[in-house]
Amino acid sequence: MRADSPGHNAQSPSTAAPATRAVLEQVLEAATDRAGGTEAALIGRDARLVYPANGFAVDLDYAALDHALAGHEQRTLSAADGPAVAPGSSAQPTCWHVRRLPADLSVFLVVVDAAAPSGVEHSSDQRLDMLTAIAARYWVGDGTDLPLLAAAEAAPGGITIADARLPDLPLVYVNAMLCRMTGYARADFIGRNCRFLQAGDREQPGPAEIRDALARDQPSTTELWNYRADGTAFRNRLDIAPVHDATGGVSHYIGLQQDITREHELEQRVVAERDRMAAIIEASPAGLLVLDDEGCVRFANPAAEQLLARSRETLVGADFGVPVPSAEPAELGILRPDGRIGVAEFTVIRSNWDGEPAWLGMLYDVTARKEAEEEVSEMAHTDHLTGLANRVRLRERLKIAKAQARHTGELFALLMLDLDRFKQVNDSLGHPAGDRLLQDVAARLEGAVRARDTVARLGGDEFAILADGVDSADGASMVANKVLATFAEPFEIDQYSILVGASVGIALLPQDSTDVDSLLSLADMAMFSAKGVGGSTARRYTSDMAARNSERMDVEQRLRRGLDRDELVVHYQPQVRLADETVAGFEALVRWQDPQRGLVGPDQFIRAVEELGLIDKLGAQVFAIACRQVAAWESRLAANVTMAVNLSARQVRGPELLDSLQPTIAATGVQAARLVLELTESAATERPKATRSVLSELRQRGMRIALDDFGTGFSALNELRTLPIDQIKIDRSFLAGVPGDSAGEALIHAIIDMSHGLGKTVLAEGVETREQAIFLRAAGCDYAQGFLYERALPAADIEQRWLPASQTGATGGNTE
Amino acid sequence: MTTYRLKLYLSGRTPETDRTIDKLRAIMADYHDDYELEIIDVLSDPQRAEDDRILATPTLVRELPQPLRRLIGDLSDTQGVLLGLEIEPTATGGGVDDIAPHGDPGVR
Repeated sequence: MRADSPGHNAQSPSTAAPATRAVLEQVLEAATDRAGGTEAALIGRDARLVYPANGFAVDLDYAALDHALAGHEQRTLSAADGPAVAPGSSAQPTCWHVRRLPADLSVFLVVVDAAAPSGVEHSSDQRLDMLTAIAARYWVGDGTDLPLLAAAEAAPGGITIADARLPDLPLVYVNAMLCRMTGYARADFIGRNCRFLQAGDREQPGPAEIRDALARDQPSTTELWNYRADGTAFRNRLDIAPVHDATGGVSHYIGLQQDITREHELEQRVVAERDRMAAIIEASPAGLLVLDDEGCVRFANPAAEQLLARSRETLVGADFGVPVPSAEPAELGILRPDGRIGVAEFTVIRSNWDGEPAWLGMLYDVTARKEAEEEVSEMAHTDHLTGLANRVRLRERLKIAKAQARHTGELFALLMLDLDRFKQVNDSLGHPAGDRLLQDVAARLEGAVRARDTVARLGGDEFAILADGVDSADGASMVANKVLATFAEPFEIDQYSILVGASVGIALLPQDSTDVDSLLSLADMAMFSAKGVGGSTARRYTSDMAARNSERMDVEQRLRRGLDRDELVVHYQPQVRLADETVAGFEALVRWQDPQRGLVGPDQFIRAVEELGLIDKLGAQVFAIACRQVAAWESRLAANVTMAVNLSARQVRGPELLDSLQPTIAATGVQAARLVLELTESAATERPKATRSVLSELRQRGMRIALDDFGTGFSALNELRTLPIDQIKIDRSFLAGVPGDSAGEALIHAIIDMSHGLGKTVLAEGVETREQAIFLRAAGCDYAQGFLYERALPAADIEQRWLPASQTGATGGNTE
Repeated sequence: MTTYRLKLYLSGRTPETDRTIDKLRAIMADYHDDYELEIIDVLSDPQRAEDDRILATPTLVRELPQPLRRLIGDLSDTQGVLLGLEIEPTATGGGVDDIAPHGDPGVR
C-alpha cells in the first residue's frame, strides 16, 4: 500500500493500529446491529451496510467495487477511481487493495482499508491481522466464545482456509505458522490458490489426489514438495477436508500443512537402507532362511531358492525343521526335487521375524567344493595301478562296517589275499608284465564279488575284500571259494599263460574282532596260514593262529639278530663215489643255532629269511664258511674233496654273484676247482639266457655247477643240453619206490643215460638203503648222498668220521 | 514314560552319518531310553524322503509323542537335541557329563 499524502494525516501514526482496531470493533458492532444483532447475520450482506453508521463512512465507487468483486478479479482501486470519502470524514483512504475474497469477507476488507485513517500506512500483515480478527469472529458462529483465531494462530502446524465457492479455491485464511513455514506473508496467500507453493514443480502426484478426493467430498491427505519464499524446498504433508455450510454444500476447505522435511528425509533414509538391505539379501550368495519356532520357513532369499531348487512360494510354509544349533556349521545334505543331492554348511542364529522369535539360518553351498574334495579323496583312496580301493579306503570301509555291525548286527567278512608265486612272475617276466597280472587279478576279483563289496589292493600282490551281509562263517568261506575259483584259469600275459594261485585268509567282523587294525592283522595271519599249507586255499582265522603268528614275528626278530651274531652254522653231508663208496666231497647245509629252540633246519627258517630280504646275506655267509672249511681241510688234512654250496635263484640271475663270490674265494684261499655251486632246476631254467651267462662265467673261473632237485622242474631237454652244468642231482623223490617200482627205475635209468650222453656226471640224493645204492651203482650213477652214508654233521664230526689224515690222501674230486 | 518314535533321515553311510546315529543313540540311552528309532538312507530310498517332504539331511522326526517335531542339524549339541525333542534333561537323572563315555570324541 502506498503512503497517503501528508495532508491527510488525522491521527498520530503511533496510535494508528489500536485506534484502527477500535474503529473496526465499532464498525463491526454497528454493522452487526444493523444486520440484525449477530455477526453471522452479516453474511452475504452488501458491504454498504456498514458505512452510514459511523463517521468514517466512505463513499466508495461501488460500481467499480461491485464490478471488481463480481468479476473475481484482483484489482487495486485508487483514490482516482472515485470520490472516495464522504464529506466531513477525516479518513481519507487513498488506496483499496481489493482482493478476490469470499463475499462475506470482502465486506470487512473494504471496511478495513476504508477505515484506515489517511496517512496511516498498514502493512499488508497488519491489514490481514485485522481482517482475520474479524474473519475469526465470523467463523466462530453463533454464540460461541471460543477464541478460535487465537487457537488457529497458536497451532503448531500451518492452517489454511480456502473458499470452495469461488473459482480456483482462493485462500481466505492462513495462520501464522504457515507464514513461518514458508517465509511468505499472509498477503501473499490470501486470494490465491495454495498451489503457488509448488513453484515450478508441478508434476507431483499429490495435488491430483487431493482434487480427486475433494471432488468426492472426501478429506484427503497427501505429501508434496513445496517451496519457501527463498526458493528452498520442503516436504509438505497436506490434510485437507471439506467444510459444509448449513445447506450441506461445501463452503470451504480447511487445510493442515506440516513441514515434514526432516521426517521425510529420515523416512527416505530408512527406505534407502531397507532397499539396500533387501538388495544385499536378494543378492547374497548365502542362502538365507527364516524359520519360525516350529521349523517352518517364513522367508527364503534367491540363493536359498537356488540351493534348495524350490521357489520362494514353495519354500515359505514348508517344514524345514527346527534347527539344532551346533558350535560348528552343520553339514546338511540338500534333497532337491530332481533327485540331485547338494551339500550345504548350515549355521543358525536366534533372531526375530514379524516380532516373533525365529531362527535365521544361513546355508552355504559347498556342493562343488565337496565334490572336488571327494575327487581328491577318491584319488587318495584309490590304488592307481588297478583302480581298486587302497588301504586307506579299506580302513574307512571297515570303520563304517564296524558301526553298521553294531547298529544292525550285520556280519562282515574281511578276506586277505596274497598271490602265490607272484614274485617269480615279476622277476622272470619283468615288472610291466607283473603289473598287468595285478590288473587282471583285480578285474577277476571284482567280478567275483558283489558290487557293494569292497575290493582293495593293499600293496604288492596283496589284496583284500570286504563283504557285507555274510550270514555266517560258511558264507565267508563261500565268498573265499568263489574268489579262489577265479584263479583256476591261467592269466594271459605277453603270450604267456600264467597260472597263479592265491592264499586267502578270512576274519569276521564283529565275531573275530571289532578293531580295524586287529581285524586286518587277523585276516593276515589266516592268509599266512593258508600260504603255509601250500597256498591256493582259504583259511578262516582261528585263535591259535595268533599264537603262531606272534611266534613267527618273534622268530623273524631273532633270525635277524642271529644273522648278525653268526648264529648260522654249516653242516656238511658227504657225497660218495658209488664205485668204491669213498668220499668225493661234501654239501654245505645251513643250520640256525637258535638260542631258544636249538638247532633249526633250513625248511623252518629259509622262507622267513627270504621274506625278510636277507637271503643274499645268508647265502654269502654260508659260502664264506664253506670256503674256509674246505680250504682248511685241504691245508690241515690235505683233504682232496669238493665243497657244494647252494645258490638261490636270485643269486644266479645277475652278474653281481661273481662280484660277491670272488672276494670270498680270494680271502679264504680256496681253490676254485674245489667249489661246486648247486642251483635248482627251476632256478636254472627261469631265465635261461641270463643264467647261462652267469654259469659260464663261474665255470671259466674254475668252479663247477650242479643242477639240484633234477626232475622236479619242467626244464626242456634242449635247455638242459645248452646249460653250462657239470652234474645232475637226481631228486630224492625218484628213489621212493626204488628198487621195485619199474617205472621209477626206468626214469632213473633214463636220467643217467641222458646225463652221461650230455657229458654230465650224476649224483643221486636221498639214498637211504643199501638196495638203492646197489641199484644206482648198477644203473651207472656216479655219486650218492643220503642217510645210508651220513647225515649232515658239524665239521668236527666230519673230520673225525670222514677225514682221518690217513685216508684223505686217497680221495679225489667227485667230478673227475 | 512315553515311547518316543523317532525317524532319522541321512544321506548315505559315512563316518559322519554314523557319528550322528551314535550321538542320537547315546542321548536317548542317557535321557529317554524308551524309544524306537528308524534310520532312513535317502540315497537308497529317495521316494521316502520325498513322501515325507524332507528338505535336507540329517533330519530327525519325532512322530510320537504328538505333536510331530522335526529337527534339522548334526545333533552334535546334546542340549539342543533334548530341547528339540522336548525331553526334560533331568527326566531320568542323566547329566550332560554322562554322555562322554558314549559320545564320539570326534564330535566333542
